[in-house]
Amino acid sequence: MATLSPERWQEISPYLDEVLSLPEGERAAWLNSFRAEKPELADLLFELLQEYRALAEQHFLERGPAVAVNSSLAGQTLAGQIIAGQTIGAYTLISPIGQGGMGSVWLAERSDGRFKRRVAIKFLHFSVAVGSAERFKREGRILGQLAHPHIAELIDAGVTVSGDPYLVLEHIDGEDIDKYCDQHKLDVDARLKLFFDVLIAVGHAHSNLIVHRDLKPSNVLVSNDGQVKLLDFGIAKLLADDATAENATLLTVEGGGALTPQFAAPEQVTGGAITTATDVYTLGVLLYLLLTGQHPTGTATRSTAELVKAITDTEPPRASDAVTSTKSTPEALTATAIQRSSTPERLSRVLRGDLDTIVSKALKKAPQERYGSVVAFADDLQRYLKDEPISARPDSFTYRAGKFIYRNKLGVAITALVLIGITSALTMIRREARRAEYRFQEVRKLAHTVLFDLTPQIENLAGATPARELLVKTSLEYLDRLATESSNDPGLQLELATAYEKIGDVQGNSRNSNLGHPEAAVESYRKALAIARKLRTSPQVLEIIAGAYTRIGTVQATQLGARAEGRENLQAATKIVDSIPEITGNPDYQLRVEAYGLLGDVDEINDPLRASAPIQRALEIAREWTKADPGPDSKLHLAVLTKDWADVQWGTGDLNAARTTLLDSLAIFKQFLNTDPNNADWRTQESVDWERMGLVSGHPDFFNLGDRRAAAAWFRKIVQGAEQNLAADPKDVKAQFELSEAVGDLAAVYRDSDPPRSEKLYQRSLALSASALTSDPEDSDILYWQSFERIGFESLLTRTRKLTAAADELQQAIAALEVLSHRDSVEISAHQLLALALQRRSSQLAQLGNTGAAAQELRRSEDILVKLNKENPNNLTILRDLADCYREKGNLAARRSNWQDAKREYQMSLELWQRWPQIGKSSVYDQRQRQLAAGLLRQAGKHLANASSR
Amino acid sequence: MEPTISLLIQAAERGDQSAADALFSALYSELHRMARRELARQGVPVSIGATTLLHQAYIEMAAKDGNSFPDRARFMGYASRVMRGLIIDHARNRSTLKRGGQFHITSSGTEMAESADDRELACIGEALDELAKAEPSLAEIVDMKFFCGFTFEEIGALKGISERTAQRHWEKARIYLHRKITLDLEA
Repeated sequence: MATLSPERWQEISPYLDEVLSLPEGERAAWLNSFRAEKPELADLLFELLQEYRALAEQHFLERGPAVAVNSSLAGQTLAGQIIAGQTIGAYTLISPIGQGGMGSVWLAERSDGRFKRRVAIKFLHFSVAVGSAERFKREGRILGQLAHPHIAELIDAGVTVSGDPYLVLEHIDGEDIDKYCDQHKLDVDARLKLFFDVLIAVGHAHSNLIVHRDLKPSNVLVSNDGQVKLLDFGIAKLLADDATAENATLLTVEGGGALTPQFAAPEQVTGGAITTATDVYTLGVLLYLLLTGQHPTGTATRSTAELVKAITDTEPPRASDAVTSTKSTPEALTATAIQRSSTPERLSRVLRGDLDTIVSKALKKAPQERYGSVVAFADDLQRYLKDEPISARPDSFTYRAGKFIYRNKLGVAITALVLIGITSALTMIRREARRAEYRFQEVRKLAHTVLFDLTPQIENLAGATPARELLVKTSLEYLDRLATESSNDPGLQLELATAYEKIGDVQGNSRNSNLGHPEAAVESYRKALAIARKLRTSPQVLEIIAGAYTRIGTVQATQLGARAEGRENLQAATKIVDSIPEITGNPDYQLRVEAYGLLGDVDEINDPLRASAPIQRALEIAREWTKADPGPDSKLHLAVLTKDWADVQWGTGDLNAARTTLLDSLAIFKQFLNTDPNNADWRTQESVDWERMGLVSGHPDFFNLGDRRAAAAWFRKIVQGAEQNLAADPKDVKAQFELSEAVGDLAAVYRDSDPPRSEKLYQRSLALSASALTSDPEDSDILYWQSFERIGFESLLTRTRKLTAAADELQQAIAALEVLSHRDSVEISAHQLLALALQRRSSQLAQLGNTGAAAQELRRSEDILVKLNKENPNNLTILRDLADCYREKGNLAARRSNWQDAKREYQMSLELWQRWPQIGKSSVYDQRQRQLAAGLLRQAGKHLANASSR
Repeated sequence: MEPTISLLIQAAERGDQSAADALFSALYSELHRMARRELARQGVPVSIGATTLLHQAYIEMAAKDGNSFPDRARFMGYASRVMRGLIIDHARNRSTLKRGGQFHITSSGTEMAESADDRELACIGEALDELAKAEPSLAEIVDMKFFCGFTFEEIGALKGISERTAQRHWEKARIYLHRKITLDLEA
């Protein structure tokens, strides 16, 4: 019998669940079939089940200690077996000093009576100390290296005979620093000198890569002879065993809990990164306390939530103000001053100026604005004591002029991680930006980048989503409050609107539907809109309004399935955007191109007719832009929009025009790539164009012109490029997928002319997409296109009479498409492709003579397509698929010699094809289909006539 | 200026190990103190159900901390772990008392009814720590059922799972523990 490693257990646990949920009688059978699947695990499972039977008989754990907590348990002191006179190592226990959280502390002295040195022995519970005794001892020894006159010495560490770990510490006969100072009525100078020693001690620890994290007065003692001693380093964490001295300036620890809230730094309560600046903050609080007798967050007792808000939001009053503030009673103020051998007025004068500045700098909410290290803090303090000028700059007038928040703070205080990232990245892209520019896609990408690339801590934390949600939630609360409180300040309102937009981007952005909250995003955008609308018209305001409408519309159209509403909002955006050149005198091409482009995107696939107007307009603007400013940006937009226009033409059946337009687009790409051949973005877009060319030229499963040879040439170019990309990075899922698509396209083109070659290509394509799916099993796109290729493959296999293989491919395709249809009921294409697959299956069934089942599949296909056609009457691909469906129904009827029905179905098919020129443009493609349909109808008519004439 | 339990729980859930340790010891002292207080209040040596104690602890701590205190289910998860610690420590203390000759018993009380050998209990504790690494929900069920005496129904209600599921977790946990302990005791 071997031990179960955690990995083994995790492997077997779900199966254990399964078998245990079966009644006893069925387990044997289950195990047998399981053995066929996973023989190595089956044996282990069997063993475990046997054991279970045995332990159940023994009633293992059935009778337990969980009866009651009674006096024996409660009556014992925590260190029940520890009593005076007991020997621990070289020491004898004298009396208990106190009860720490982790265990009890005893006073002790050396047993041999040689040195009368007294020590404190701290016992930790066996059940409290995590990890083995050995590790504990080792940590103790390492911490013992931290020898410093102002740090309580860790003398020894060990484990008692009964297995309780303990620490032997230098015993300090003294008091908490704040009490010491008050009792001895130390003045400001004397307090500063003591505090200086504290800084030195903490700095020493930091240089040894140890962060205390819980510096509070009770951990800073002053002995009877006036020596500062820091305590409780014994519980601080040793960071990154392999951290070098260079990294010592930025010690980051994930999490870093707020152990004592009133001394906690803002980042400790919001879950941000803990650095040495965190200790600086805590020391700042201590200094504030020593100088003013108050806490920076005030003295009122409050709930934790209020305290947290105070820590993250409220600026502390200046030290010099705090000692004369009317918030306290005159008696309290005088008492405080007396403890500092002074009067309130004199005290205030002493604190004003440089000391205020030093304290404020330590207490800044944003870690990067504080002293970078305790040493820097100490240096400034020393300069003050020596009457030399300090390095800290006092806060600017605007900050102190009563505003509770000032401009920069907006970007910093709110979930600094998110917004700083966006703001700084945006300024990187647009150096000349003074107005709030936006690029919707760019911002989305950035939001994604910031959240998931620049903040790995969020990703790595268990429950990363809750952390992210918390950030968003905190920012929103903050913004909401600001919105109501700052309604008089237009500049601020403008920034607020922008901030809401950014938050909306973060909320709505995600390909992973689990993490995006599109409705919440729309809400944030609406808030931005509401604010911006109330402001006076200005270029920035117009841009924000247009931006908000655009974002709302896009989210509605793409993520919420509310295409009509999305369209309305995007139309509103274009109207606003139209007015910008006139009102602002700035042509603002990019904004306008994008607004129209996005409006076109909404309908491009499902209603290309409707999309033509906005895409045309976008194209016009892009042409103007290129003329006025022929740079890479304008050219890229022009090239892509030209391709978009080609897509519209293609979607409306105007195949020749589409091909010409694509060539135009390719020309632009080629011209640009001559000057900048390595531009990856352009290269990617260029190969998108190549694919389109191939499809339009001769891909049998798309609207095409029948030129197989030209198509093959285009696809071969893409395959070449994709193979290079994959060779550069074989694990790249995107590259695998692209290659699988390109190879699949090529396979389709060879279906009729070279079946063996086509088969090999299809197999390769499917292998590649399967491989891509193992890395990313949930990717809907890959799954969709793989199914598409399978259907093409089925067509080939049927033609070459490999019927079992054909059926298998179709089966897999249908299974995948069912999954996709359920996964996203909004997305049309999965349903459409499923309908097509069902038609193919019906054909297979009919071949095997199972006409009843074949009819059923066709009915299902028809239902799907009729519905889709009704909702998207201008979508010609749906029209085609529905027409094909009727044709198949006709074929099925014909097989049964039911010529009446066949004629009817063929008639319906023909009518649909006849509708084509009314909706879109005609070309050889639809003309051919119409001819075929008419032909079938004629045939059926003949058979009917023959039958009735008999 | 004591650390607040809810802040510690938040920090522990963010993965901060030292906060988790501090949380454990804070709960340990609290529960211990509350147990003593309850018994003192009663006057005569009597027992309190562990579950009653835990419910009471929850009410008191939540009242102190206000709205941000985590819900009962999360609290019970941590608290029952602490209960395990209290009980195991107690068992160990008693067994060392039995062993050592030079120690005096400072307080005696009625013996706790138990059939688990103390060494086995300590082993169970260690095994549970390991199980917590492999499948934490199972360890939690054991803490709650075995050490605190919650019923399957109560556990189901707290954790939002069916009784049947809770029972199955219990069965799986027992399998794991039994195997681990038998091996350890053999060693």
